[in-house]
Amino acid sequence: MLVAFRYLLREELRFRKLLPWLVLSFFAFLFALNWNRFAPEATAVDKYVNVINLLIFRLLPLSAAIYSTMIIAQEVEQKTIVYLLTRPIPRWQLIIGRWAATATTVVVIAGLGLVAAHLGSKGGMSFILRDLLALALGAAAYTSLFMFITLLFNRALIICVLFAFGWESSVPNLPTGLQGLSVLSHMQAIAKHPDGVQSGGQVLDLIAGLLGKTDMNPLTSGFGLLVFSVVMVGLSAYWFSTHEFIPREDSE
Amino acid sequence: MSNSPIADLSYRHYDGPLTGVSKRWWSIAKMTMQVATKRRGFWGWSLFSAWWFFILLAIFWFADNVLGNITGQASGANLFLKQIVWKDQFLHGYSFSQLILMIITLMIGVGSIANDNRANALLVYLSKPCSRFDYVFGKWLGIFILISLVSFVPMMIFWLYGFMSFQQYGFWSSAPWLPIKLAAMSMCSGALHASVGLAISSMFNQGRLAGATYAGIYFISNIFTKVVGGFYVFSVRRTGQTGSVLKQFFYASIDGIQIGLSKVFLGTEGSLILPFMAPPPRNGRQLTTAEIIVGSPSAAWILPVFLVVVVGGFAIAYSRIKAVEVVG
Amino acid sequence: MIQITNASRWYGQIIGVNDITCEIGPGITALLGMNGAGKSTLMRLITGQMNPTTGSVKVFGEEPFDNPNVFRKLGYCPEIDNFYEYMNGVEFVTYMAEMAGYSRSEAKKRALEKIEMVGMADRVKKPIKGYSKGMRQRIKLAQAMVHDPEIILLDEPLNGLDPVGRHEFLSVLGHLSEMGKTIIVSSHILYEVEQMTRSILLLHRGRLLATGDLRVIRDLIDKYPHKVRIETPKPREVAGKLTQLSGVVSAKVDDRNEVINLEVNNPNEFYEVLSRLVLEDGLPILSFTSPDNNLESVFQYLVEG
Repeated sequence: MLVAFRYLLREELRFRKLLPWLVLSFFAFLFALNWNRFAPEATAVDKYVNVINLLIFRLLPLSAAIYSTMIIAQEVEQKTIVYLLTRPIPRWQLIIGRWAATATTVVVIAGLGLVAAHLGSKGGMSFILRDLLALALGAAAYTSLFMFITLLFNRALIICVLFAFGWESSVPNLPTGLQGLSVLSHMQAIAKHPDGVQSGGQVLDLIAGLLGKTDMNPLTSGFGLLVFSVVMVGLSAYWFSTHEFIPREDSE
Repeated sequence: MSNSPIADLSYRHYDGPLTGVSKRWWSIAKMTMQVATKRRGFWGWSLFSAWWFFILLAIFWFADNVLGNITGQASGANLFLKQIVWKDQFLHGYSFSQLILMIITLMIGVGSIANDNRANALLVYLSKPCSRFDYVFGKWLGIFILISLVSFVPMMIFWLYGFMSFQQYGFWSSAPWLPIKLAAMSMCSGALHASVGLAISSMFNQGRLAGATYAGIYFISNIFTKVVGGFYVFSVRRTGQTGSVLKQFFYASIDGIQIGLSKVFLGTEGSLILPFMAPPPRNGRQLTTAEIIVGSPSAAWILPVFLVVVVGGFAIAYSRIKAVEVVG
Repeated sequence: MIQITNASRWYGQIIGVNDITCEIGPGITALLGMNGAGKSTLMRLITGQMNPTTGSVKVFGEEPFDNPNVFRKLGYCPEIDNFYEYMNGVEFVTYMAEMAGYSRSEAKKRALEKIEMVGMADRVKKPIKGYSKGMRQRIKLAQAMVHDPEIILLDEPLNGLDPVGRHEFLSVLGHLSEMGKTIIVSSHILYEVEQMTRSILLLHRGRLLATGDLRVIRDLIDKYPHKVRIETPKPREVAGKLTQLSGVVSAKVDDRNEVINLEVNNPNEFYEVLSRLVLEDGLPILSFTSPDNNLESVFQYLVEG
């Protein structure tokens, strides 16, 4: 399992693959740095929290969607799955090792954004660890869900992207108690950012998924995301161990 | 072509006589469209792209027939219909279809060159009497036609409904050139998605990676420009100035370019979705539409941006096409 | 080592392999068939990438699907040319060895050994994306052997190799066979297979058409007379004598008057009589060959007959 983890992590953290995320982190840094130009009254904490909510939390599902396809779907598409499936390593170990690598990569990427937001705003000192925890649990939830989707569907990326930007953009803003069905809402609950810092008003709240804000318990949310991740990883491991993964055009 | 008695079986570019100029790229365009239209997903998403027009049809039919009968209003006296700015309804429907147009492009266009790269089909194409331009233009045209039609057909159906039903509410008289403007908007969508999609596709030999990159660019640019939009309306509320450069940058995304252009074509600043949706009061003051919605961009900004992206995307795809065997 | 019992595999309404029963033991066995015959499907069933729809496939008495016990003793060299292109050859083979359970240092040591064995030692530090097809085939073979498996399956292994590469590849296979390994080679190029082995499994449209030694199979095909080509300075005289033999069906002297082409029903009996005629009656014969005692003929008889 460790070998599967190590090699995929090494592939995912190659500089070429990280470069777009480094650029985006730099943008986050610039946003935080220049926030006061547009919202002069915003404090350092306001700036940090806004950049985290608007950019880092929102980009997490996108990076999770892209990287989750590397767990199995990429191997099937580039046909290298055959090398992995004919090795003396049980399939469940293979997929869990690779999922762990992907979740780690997504956390690393999000961590870069956190650091950038803090450096740009100088306001993240008292939030950064909690945010990191929220991002780690969010990354685990998103990657496990998307991994399962990639095992089930051929065009999984479209579904993952729709979830990331359709579901996750609308459900957290609903005025009812449906926020529990959104990973983003749980992440916001865990991060527990102070109220009243959304200096951008309702438009930015809408983007950040904060319009339907309810008082979710951080502990319950954290536990919920953890259980959800374990269930999705378990389902994926079961599915991967019992189904065939053969590049289609090769079938005779 | 070489006159050597030994056949040249290498996969180099065909350099023999080229005949039937139009047919070469048209064959590729037709093939691109045939492959796309064989997918059930294409039809499903195409239908779904018109979702807002379906809602509008239902609302206007209800307002015209049911509400009109209940309140006993005479034809042309329906207060709800009187308030409708017709061209804005097309803008809303068009804006709401943007995500779906991106998904359709993801499905039919973004993988097209990448998958040809992977399957070494490029070698086959380019060893035929077919130039690089024919290949890229054929692909581009196939995507352009499909996306344009997916965007245009629902708008025209809605236009026909409006033309036949709401003449008395100024449907025709307020915007007589609307069909032409709608066609231009649809073609802009087709051109933009075709160029960006092909440019990205040409950089990869895996459709999955090309798709991920396209979706990434679409959503990331969307998020960043939406945040810029938030800053813009915030600054309008604070300063009352609507000429900020932020307004132009709000349209610097794939969606934004299309919506910005459509505002320019339609000559509208945009409006709230329906007339009964009044802007919410803030700090005891009723906000104006300009304090909620980012207005139309400057044509001198959005048109060059559009052209640069379309021509640039095509040029990238053209320059990346090479008849090189992909071994991996 | 490998037991296949009434195995069938369907892809929706298309059949991949149909009711195949056979056993494969040590030595080189060729899996033959035209494109679409079911070779790759059978390979995938044996390598546990897929399950049979009906019947069973057992390797070392166990079902191979998701079975590490089987994969410890099985190496697979697939037909595909795909790799982790950013790695170099050593990294890739080391990765595969680590996946087989070896420590990092042991894996690397083994990788270097096997890479040397397939004749790639001097070029292996370059990224795989720059490899030629021949180099890729060698690296694939190295990864299949890296954990010293008992069974090695090679799917179209000679594709893309130049004549020198083919020769080297065949000697590696011969060496492995001598070590007592079970080697299954799929191919549709009969000439290649003939150079490796005479033990074949012949598939056609998903069915197992013939299995066993090539000569035995040929002998069993009674429907077609065997062709014998005899070179002689006196063709008409020799032909006259040979046509009197009971098993000879026809004789034709070629235009150059130097060669007789015979068709005989019982070749073993015919060869016995022929040698007696040469030794005792001094029949003037320079050479004789059996042009259809090769794989291509057998294949044609079985598939097209």
